Amino acid sequence: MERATVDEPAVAVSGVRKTYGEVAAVDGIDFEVRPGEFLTLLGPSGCGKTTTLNIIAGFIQPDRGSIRLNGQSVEALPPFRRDIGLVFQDYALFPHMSVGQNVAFGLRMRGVPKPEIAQRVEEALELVRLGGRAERKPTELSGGQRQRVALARALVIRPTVLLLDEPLSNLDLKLREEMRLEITTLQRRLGITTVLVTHDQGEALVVSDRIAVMRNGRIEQLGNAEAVYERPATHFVAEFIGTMNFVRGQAMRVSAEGSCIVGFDDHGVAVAAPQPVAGSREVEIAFRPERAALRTAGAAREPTQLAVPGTVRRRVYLGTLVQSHVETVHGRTIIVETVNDGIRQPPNIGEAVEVIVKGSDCIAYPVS
Amino acid sequence: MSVAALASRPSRTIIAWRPILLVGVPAAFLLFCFVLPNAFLLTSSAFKSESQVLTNQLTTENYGFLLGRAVYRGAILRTFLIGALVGLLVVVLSYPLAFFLARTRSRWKGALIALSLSPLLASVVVRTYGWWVLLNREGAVNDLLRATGITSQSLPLLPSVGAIVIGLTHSLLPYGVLTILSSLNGVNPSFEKAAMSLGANRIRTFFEVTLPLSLPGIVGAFVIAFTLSISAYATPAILGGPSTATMATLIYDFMTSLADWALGSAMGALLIVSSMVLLVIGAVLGSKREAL
Amino acid sequence: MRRAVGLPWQMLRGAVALTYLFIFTPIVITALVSFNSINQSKFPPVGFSMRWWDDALSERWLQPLWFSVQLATLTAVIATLLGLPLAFGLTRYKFPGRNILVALSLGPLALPALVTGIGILQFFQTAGLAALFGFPALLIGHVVICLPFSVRTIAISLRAMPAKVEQAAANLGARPARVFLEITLPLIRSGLFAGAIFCFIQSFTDYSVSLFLSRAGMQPISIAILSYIDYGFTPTLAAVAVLTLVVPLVLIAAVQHFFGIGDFLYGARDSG
Repeated sequence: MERATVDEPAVAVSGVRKTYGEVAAVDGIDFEVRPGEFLTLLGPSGCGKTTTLNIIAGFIQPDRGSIRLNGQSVEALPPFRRDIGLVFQDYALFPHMSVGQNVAFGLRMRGVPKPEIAQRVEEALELVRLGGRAERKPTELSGGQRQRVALARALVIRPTVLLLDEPLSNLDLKLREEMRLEITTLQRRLGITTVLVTHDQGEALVVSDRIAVMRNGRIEQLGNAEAVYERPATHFVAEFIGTMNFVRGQAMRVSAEGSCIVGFDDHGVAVAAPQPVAGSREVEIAFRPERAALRTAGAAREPTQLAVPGTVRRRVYLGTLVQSHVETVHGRTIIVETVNDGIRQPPNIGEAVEVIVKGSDCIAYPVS
Repeated sequence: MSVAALASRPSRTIIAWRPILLVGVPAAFLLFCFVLPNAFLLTSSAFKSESQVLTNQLTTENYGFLLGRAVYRGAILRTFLIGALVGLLVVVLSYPLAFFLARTRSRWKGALIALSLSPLLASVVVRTYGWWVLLNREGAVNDLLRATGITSQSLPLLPSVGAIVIGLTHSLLPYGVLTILSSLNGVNPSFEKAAMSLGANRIRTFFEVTLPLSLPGIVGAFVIAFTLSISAYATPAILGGPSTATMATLIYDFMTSLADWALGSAMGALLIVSSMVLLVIGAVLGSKREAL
Repeated sequence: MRRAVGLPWQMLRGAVALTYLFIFTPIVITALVSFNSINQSKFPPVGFSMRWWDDALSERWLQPLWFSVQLATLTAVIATLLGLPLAFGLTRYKFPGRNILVALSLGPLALPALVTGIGILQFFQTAGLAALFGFPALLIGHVVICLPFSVRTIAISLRAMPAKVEQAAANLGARPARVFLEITLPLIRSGLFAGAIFCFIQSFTDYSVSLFLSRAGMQPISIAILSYIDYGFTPTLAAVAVLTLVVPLVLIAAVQHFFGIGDFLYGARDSG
């Protein structure tokens, strides 16, 4: 495969659709991965992320749409000609081969001369800190070590792009955090274009250059970690990434492109509205727990703030933070996080309070 | 996970020829050597035959003949009686053994399982031989009865339906053990622990949890023993006689000494239908596991 | 863990011991009557003699025994060669008619073998293939009734393979043929051997199909015994019967020793 020109995307997925019977597993998606970029396909079970990965790898043929690697169309290529490194969720190490034979497999298939294979296998194992373990059987390794063998096996063929299918989901929490760091360090060092599939939004935020949040076979939002966290494009993304509070309010009028005036009574504040909302309609107003504050009911408020009255029902002590769960008069629960700095005293349970949030920290979504 | 989508199913358009290439020869073999002969048999059972030569006259005479005569009707009923008794005995005898093998923590477990299945290595002919030695008029059982003075004369233990049932139970026992064992192994031990933690003693745990959960194995063992019994030839031939004819021994007689292929085919067709009915009943009552 | 003691368990052990007794008594008796000094199958044996064993080891019985070994070996090989692509096609691909083919490949197990035997007898006779009776017809009949065992065992090991290793190999650049040779075949090896052994034993101990497809001089051992029974149950027959038990035992011991099928039989599996 020819090397790409500088401005060519490493992976270009356009108009891809795949249906099983009536159900569209992937329902027309487009995205590009720049050379050296780490892109994550994030979403819940059944959102189509794994299908997308398998379409790129060539295991599933899309009904329509095209896949280009470094500008070359690959739809007609079978999986074994695509030069894509794939790390499987359960690693799929060959149980009848040693670690070294596993890593050597892809090189043997490419007809690489023996001495070079030996050298490259050793290098690849060094790279994942498994030097000297070539003779072991996969069954003799720990979960984290198997994971690293799978990584070495995928990287040794110097693939155009590295695909990671939920690679950390079988590891326990501590190991997962370690491997997260290791994979990103390795990825940055080798500068290899990488596509990760995961349902773990925390993982996605930490490792990715950009995140594609998927739902029902479509991409809801594609952007960097800050964008998907701070400016979720849809109600779903807002709910899926991090913790988000939602209260029902009224859209009074649309003020400008991408924003509107919302409120609960005749007092309105301007908030962002990424999706079009109509005036005089109910909207869902979303804001993060760390952007809200509490104060005793009835105090005066600033004109740019929204105030939601409620009662404190629970306190959750998290160490650096204290969460207060406030039940609104409409029965919804709002979580407010207070920094445990010893200055601000969180209110007591049962106390009547007001949740205060700035309009600029709120986003309005149409009620679905 | 979107795993369902992932079932490694390459596109139809690219690889449709590959499965055809793979299964083509075996499928053709089965078609020619299994389907055609059986279809042929079903057809010939509906034609008149004159001494091994089928005429082209369509008739239900063959079936009418078999079902109309008391001798043949009796043999068919006897065959089903034997099948039901053997099925019952196989379940009763193999369940305790299978339960023991599933639950024992003896280090000989593997050897004990192998031992219980080892009779499958011997031909039924061989396994039936021992029963003949025991049960014939001059056999060990009669010797014993006479020596102890319980009887003064030899009892005609052979030929008899009882001897056939014992012989078949003996030769089909390993199938029962195998079927029930695999169903018991499929019962999650946590269910039993849960029942005991909720206050059921071992016996109640067995009857309220283990036994119902292993029911598919019991049904399976019964059906297998039943179907294999009704089509067994060697055991009824060795331990039975003309008075205890079964469908299988009659088929043999029709096909060889009597040289009436149409009647043999008709009896064979009845055997096929009986087996299919049993298997369907078994599939409905038992678990609906994927066949392959 | 519960301790498996107490009265119920002791009673169960007693029942199990009796069941084993029931299983092995006739086989042991058969072995013992072969040492009778008189030409009657008496139990307990009258006197002691090895002459029936001399008879059993004569050409009269060794010929059908050897015939059976050849027949069973070839049956196992052909059933495996047919069963492997069939099982692979059925487990790895969806195609129209797949369910029919599944039913078809298990069919010989569902239909009485005896009926399959007479079906083949009539079909070959009518189709002018009577010349096949003897070894060729027996081979065909035995492969038919063994194929379900072969397909099933191989399909089970194909399904039991660690997930996605075939995809991983394809992803690393192996063409389908190499994936099959380097990944699939080594991983289902014990299943292949186990299936072949099932076929061998099924063929070796069969009489239902053989009953109708043999001809003089081309008889498997089970048919030779069965037709000799008409002359009475002599101690020679007992000796021959014991002899037929030895063949599968030796085979299993040899395969277990050289290739190891225990993994398959006891369900122990490597996980990758």
